[in-house]
Amino acid sequence: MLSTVAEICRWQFNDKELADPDLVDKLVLSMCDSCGIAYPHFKLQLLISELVSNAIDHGVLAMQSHLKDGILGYECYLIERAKRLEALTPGEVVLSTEWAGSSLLRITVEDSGEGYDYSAFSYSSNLSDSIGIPKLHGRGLAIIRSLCESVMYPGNGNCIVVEFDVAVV
Amino acid sequence: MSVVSEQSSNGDEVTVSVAGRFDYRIYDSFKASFHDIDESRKAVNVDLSKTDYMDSSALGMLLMMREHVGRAVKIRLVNPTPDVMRVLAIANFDKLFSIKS
Repeated sequence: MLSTVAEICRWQFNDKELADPDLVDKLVLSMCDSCGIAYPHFKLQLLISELVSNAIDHGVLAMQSHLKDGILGYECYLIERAKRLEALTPGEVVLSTEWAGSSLLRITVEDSGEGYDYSAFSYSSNLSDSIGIPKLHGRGLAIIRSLCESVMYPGNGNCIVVEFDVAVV
Repeated sequence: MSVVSEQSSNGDEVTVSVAGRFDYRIYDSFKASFHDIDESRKAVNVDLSKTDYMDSSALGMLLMMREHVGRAVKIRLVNPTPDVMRVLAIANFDKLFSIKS
């Protein structure tokens, strides 16, 4: 659901809407339309996909990242995620955008969860453990950091604010 | 089909081609593509030449494939497009897999 006040566009999704597999596609299309960004936009699609996945998984559904570790971890994680989504865990995700510069879009994503410890993933080197075995989690945040000019986590870990240059394709 | 797998004439290698989007939507078909691959094969080639989108769910699926087929089977990521290559590089997958352009 889109609402616009002054120059700020805002989308709000309830638990039923969060279970829609086409949510990210619809959101990106609506964002491009509202903000005058050429569609399709690979990096924006990727960024929104990772931002919304994190908000749903670690915010609304309170999924623990370490569930992805281990040989069967990723599969177990997806099964558990589907179960929680289907159970319509009450919650919502709100995304808003405003221009912070001529091509710099500030995107805020806030979820109704209890907060996520972003500091655990401060560096992309955390994608592997000390002997180089890859972890099956943390890559979404690494992607977000690499795509954005800045990334901030105000509040208690249920909010992320990024600045994204739409002109860099 | 967005995921197609075929084996080489001598059966040593399997090529899995992913066309279009490589994300959670193709989880079932991608998993099915490597379900029967075991250490009797020498290599799996994941053809990314027609993959126009990839996110972190695809990275998770590639690691799943690696764990499933075993370390003795070489996995090559073949001809990634520049956008896809960037995602692979962010995740350091260029160090985990052999990437062939």
